[in-house]
Amino acid sequence: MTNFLFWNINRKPLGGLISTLAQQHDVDVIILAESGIEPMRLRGFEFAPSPGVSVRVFTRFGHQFIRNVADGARYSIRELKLPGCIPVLIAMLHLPILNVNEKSQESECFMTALLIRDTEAHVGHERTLVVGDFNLNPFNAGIASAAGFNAVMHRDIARRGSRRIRGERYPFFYNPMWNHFGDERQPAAGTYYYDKSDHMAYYWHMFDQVLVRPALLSRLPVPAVTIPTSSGSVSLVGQNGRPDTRSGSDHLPIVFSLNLKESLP
Amino acid sequence: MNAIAEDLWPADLAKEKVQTPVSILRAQAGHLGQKTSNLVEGRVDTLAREGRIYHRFLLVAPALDNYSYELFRISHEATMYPIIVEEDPQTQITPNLRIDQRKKLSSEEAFVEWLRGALSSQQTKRVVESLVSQSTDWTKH
Repeated sequence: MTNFLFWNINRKPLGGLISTLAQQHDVDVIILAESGIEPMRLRGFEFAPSPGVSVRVFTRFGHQFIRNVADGARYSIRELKLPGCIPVLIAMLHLPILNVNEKSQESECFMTALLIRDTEAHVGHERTLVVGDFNLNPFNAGIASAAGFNAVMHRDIARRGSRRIRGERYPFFYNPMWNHFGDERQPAAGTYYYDKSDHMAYYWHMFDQVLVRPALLSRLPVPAVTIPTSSGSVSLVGQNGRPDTRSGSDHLPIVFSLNLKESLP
Repeated sequence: MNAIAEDLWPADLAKEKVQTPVSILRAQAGHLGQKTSNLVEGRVDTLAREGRIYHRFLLVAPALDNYSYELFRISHEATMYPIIVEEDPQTQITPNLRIDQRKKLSSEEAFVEWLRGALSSQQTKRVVESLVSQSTDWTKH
C-alpha cells in the first residue's frame, strides 16, 4: 500500500505532529496546504518542489519518482511512478474561498476539472486522484456537478465510468468523504468546523477531500479514508470534538491508501 | 422604400479591427518563445462558461515533456472589458480571496499595463529562468 496524508496546517509550525502522524499511519506522501514548513524540516522525508506555493509535497522516496506535470498558483499535478507500481496522476490543490460566492467557486472547480482532463489526455491515462482543501463540501455543485469534478458518493455509480449530458462525456470521480459525515462512526463529523450566525449553517464541513477515478477503485481499500483526531498522544480536537487550534490546525488531516502494485493479488 | 430589400446595417459595422484580450495574450506568448529560443513557450488556453470567457496563460517547457506552469488567469464577458484578474503573479496567494479584492481592468490600456507588470514580476522571472535552466540541462544531457 502507498499511504498519503493531506493536511491544511493553517500556517502553524506543526512539523512534530506531522512526523508523528506520518509514522503512525506509515505515510509515504505528505501533502500540506497553508504550510510554511521549511523543506528540510520533516525528518525522513524529501521535499518535492514546485513553483506554486499553495501545496507542499514531501515524499519518503526520492522526488524523481513524483514528477511535476502541470503547476499553478493553487494546484500541482504530479505523476507518481514508483518501481514495480503503476503510474498515477495526483492533482493536489487548495481552492480559494472567494467570499462564499458559490458560483465563482463552481467556476474554479470547472476550470480545475477541465485542466485535470487535459492532463489525463496528455499522459494517456485516467488513473487519477485529486486531493486537497476544496473549500467546498461534497454536496456543493462544484464537486458534484458534471461540469465540476463530477464526484459521486457511491463506488457502483463511479464504476460506470462517466455520464453523458447533451452528447458531452463527463468522467466520474468517486468521493469517499461522503462516508464521514455525521457523528455515529467517528468523533469528527467533518474536517472543519464553522459556527456562523446565519439561518443556514452546517457547522461541520468536509472541505478536505480525496476524489478517485474509477480506474483506481479496485486499488482503494474499504474504508478508504480516515480522519485522524490525534497525533501520538496529542489530541487534534478539543473536548467538544472540534479541531483544536491550540494543539493543531483549524482543519483535521485526512489519511488514505492505494495499492499501486503492478499486479493486484 | 422596401425595408426588406434595404440594408439597414450601418456602413462602418465591424470595420474597425479591435484587439481582443486573447490576441494581446497570444502575441506575448509568441514573444516568449523567441526570447528563450523556444525552451519556454507561451500558450493561451481559452474556455467559456456561463457567459464568461476565461484565459489561462501557460508557460510550457517542451524539453521537459511539455511541463506547464499557469502564470495567470483572467476572465471577461463578451464585451471584453472589464477584465477580472482571477490569478495574478504579482499578488501573494491567499486562501480567503474575496471577490471584490480581485483586480478589475476596465480598458485595454489598463489591461496592457497590468500585463506588463505581470510579465516582469519576480514570480514570472523566477519560473521562466528555472524552466530555461532545466531545459538547457536536459537538452545537454
